[in-house]
Amino acid sequence: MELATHINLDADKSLARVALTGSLNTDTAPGFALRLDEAIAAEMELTVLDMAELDYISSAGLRVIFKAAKEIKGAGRKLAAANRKPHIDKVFEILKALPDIAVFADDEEMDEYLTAMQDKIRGE
Amino acid sequence: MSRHSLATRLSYLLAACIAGMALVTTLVHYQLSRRVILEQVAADTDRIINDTRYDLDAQLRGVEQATRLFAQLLGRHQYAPEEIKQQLRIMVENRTDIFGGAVAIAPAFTANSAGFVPYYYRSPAGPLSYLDLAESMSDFTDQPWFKETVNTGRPQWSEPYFDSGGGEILMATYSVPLYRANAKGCSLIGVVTTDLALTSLSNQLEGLQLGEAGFALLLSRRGMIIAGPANTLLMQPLLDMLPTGQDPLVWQTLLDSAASAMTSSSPVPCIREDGDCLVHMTPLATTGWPLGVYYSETEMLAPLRSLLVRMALSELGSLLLILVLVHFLSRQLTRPLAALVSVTDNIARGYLDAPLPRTPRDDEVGGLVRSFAAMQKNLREHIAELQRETASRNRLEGELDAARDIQYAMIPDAGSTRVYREQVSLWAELRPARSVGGDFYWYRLVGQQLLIVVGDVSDKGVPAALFMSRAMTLLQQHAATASDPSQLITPLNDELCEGNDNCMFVTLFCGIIDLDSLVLRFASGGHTPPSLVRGGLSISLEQDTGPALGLQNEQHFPINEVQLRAADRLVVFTDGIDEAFNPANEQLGLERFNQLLGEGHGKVLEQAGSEALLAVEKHADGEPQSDDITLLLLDLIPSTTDAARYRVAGQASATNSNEPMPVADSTIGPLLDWLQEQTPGQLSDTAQGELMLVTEEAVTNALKYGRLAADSSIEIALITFPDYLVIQISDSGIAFNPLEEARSAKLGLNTAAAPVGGLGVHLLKALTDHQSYQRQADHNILRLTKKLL
Repeated sequence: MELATHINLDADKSLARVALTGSLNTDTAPGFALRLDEAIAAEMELTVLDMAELDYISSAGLRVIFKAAKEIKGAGRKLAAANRKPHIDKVFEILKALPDIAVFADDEEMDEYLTAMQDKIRGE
Repeated sequence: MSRHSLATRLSYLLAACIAGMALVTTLVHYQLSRRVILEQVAADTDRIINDTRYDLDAQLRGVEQATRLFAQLLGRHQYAPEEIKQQLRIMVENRTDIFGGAVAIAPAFTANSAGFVPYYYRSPAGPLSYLDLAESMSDFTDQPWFKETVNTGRPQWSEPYFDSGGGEILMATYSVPLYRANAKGCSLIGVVTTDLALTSLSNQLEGLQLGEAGFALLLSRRGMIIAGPANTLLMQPLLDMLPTGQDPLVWQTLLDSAASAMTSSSPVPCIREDGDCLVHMTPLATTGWPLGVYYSETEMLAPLRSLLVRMALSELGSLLLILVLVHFLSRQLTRPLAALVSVTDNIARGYLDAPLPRTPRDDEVGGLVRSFAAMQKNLREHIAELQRETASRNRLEGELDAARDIQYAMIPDAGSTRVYREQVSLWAELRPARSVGGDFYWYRLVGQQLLIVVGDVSDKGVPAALFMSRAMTLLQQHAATASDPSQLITPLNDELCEGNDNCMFVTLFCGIIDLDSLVLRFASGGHTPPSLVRGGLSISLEQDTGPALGLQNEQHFPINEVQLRAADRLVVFTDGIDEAFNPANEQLGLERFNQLLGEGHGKVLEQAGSEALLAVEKHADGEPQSDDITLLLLDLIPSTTDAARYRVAGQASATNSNEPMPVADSTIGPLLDWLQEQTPGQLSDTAQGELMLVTEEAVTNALKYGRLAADSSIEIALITFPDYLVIQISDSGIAFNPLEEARSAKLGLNTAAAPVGGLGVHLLKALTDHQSYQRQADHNILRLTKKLL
């Protein structure tokens, strides 16, 4: 019932990729909050929570994500979730959590989004 | 007035009829008149032609006669030339119709070798002029008038000719052979001629009445115009002078007929005017000259036409007059109808007092108005009656509603019971057939003794409800002291018998369960046996029963004893369930109901109860509920002493603050690990994850908000049933029902607006099949049920 958080920063794409492995529960939530703060501190345009290896999430974990979402959105940047397992998806759905953040079913969708975003930035 | 009103329709219809009739009459009239007029015109024309011919012939005959007489006179005497001259002069002077006369003596009979031809004629000056034609003509015996007359020996008319050098007028000459008697008999000695001025003939023609377009025409035998409408055309051949548009062949045929002494007629195109024209032609008897008459039929019919126009105008006038009259009259007739229409509209809008039009008339309209008045009156009375009835029904319904409220107040939890205890869960529902009913139930837990009573008063409605109130009152009175079913049911029966002249009765189930030994002891007063659901099978319990209560006192009610087991479900109900009818008049029956209960095994109490009631409703299939329905389900919960248990230590809160306590590290992780180990193998990974999630949510909730004492703990018990699991979380914190009181976040908000907390309760409700909370012995007990499948 542990949680490993791996952060990968890609300055070229202005992307912070936060990969969660294990269980995000009341115990692991405070530790995850600290790690997520690190990722947010990098001030990337897009922060993606990669949940491919996340097996469990409780409302304590969701609260951390909510807080982060508010902070990131408040700073005019974006938070997205990717690769949610079906039962994780179900929890988000029950709580109708964060209807306005981008959700990618897989890496391919995320890459498309990134390309589109890059194009938009370059276009500006 | 509307275009579609009766009056308008009637006017239009009548006008159309009259106009049609007038048109037909006029046309028939015209055709008849036309024929008569045309016949008349033809007859008139014939008469004119005949008269004219007669007049002309008479004139010509006069000339002929005079000439022949003169010739006879000369033939009888041997007149000297001077005498002849003298006689001729007298004759011409006397005959004013003669222009001139001559006596031509052949040269053989005169002294003069050139012959002797005295000629007298009327000069324009007045007195007669004389001329000896023997001198003025080279050889008169060669002249046609002389030669032909001598040769044929018969009198004859010459072709008309223009007398140039003499009278300068158009004339025709009549020649008669002159015979003189002598020794040898009679010898032809010459010719006597008279000249006729044709102007006298044309004067006659001009006087004819042939209308504007019509005219008469006199022709010579060779077809030259002798007299006609235009003097310029005189002595011209008619066929050459025809106006354009005329067919020469037609005219030739007419001339040919005249030459054959026949009268004929033919239609020809009109010369100047439009319409039909006609030509009549007939030869004169004397000279054989064709006399023609041309006239326009159209012109002759013109008076008829103008008559027709005047008739049509007068008919139109009459028609308009009739229209106005009919319109006026029909308006008079239908005025009450129009008024009636507007009144009807008002009545339809609900103004029942709208005044009807007054009509003293005795016809159908008057009858209609009177019928309307009667209808209006009846309608008013009917509606007033209806309003009174509605008011009284509303009052009655209001009273019945109040009665139902009072009745329900006697039944625990107003007829909808949900009780969850550590050892037992109770679910009961009462549905009256009418607004008030005769079913009732009651329960009471004293120590470990659970008393359950379910009753059904005979009949339904208000009397049953009143009897039921009495039964409930007595029941509660005796239940206080009763420790055995018979101590309750026997005195209840005796007291219900008192003063029960109406012979109302009640069937009753009365049972007591000892929750320690799980023994059920029950007595039945003619009540449907209860069902026992155990291991997926439902059976009706065998019972010894006493009589229904209220009929006879001092009765014995045998006690039935049943050993129950943990996880058993006891079902007590009234006959409103097993005797529910469907449209085919079939009862549900105990067997079928037991089957339904068996199918409900494993379902949580509330779900099983609702589904059983739904199945009864489905069986009825729209048939109105014929009897009150009471259904009571009781689950015996296996003792948690056998359950897997886990304890989470309480966290002392330093202050009494309302702020949530932070959860200590490594509190939840081990709990979840334990849960993972305990859950049975048949639980899917997803279900296991969900069970862990709800447990975490419930426990953290208690830790954060329970204000637990430092030495207290939260107990988590996992109770496994064959097909469902129950997680029971008990804590000694402050009384708090997370299902109702927990901060429940509004869902679906955008990031900026979404609350960070208050999510756990949503997960509890969404991920488990049933949740219950109770506060017992200073503990919060939250029970979450999750089906295994």
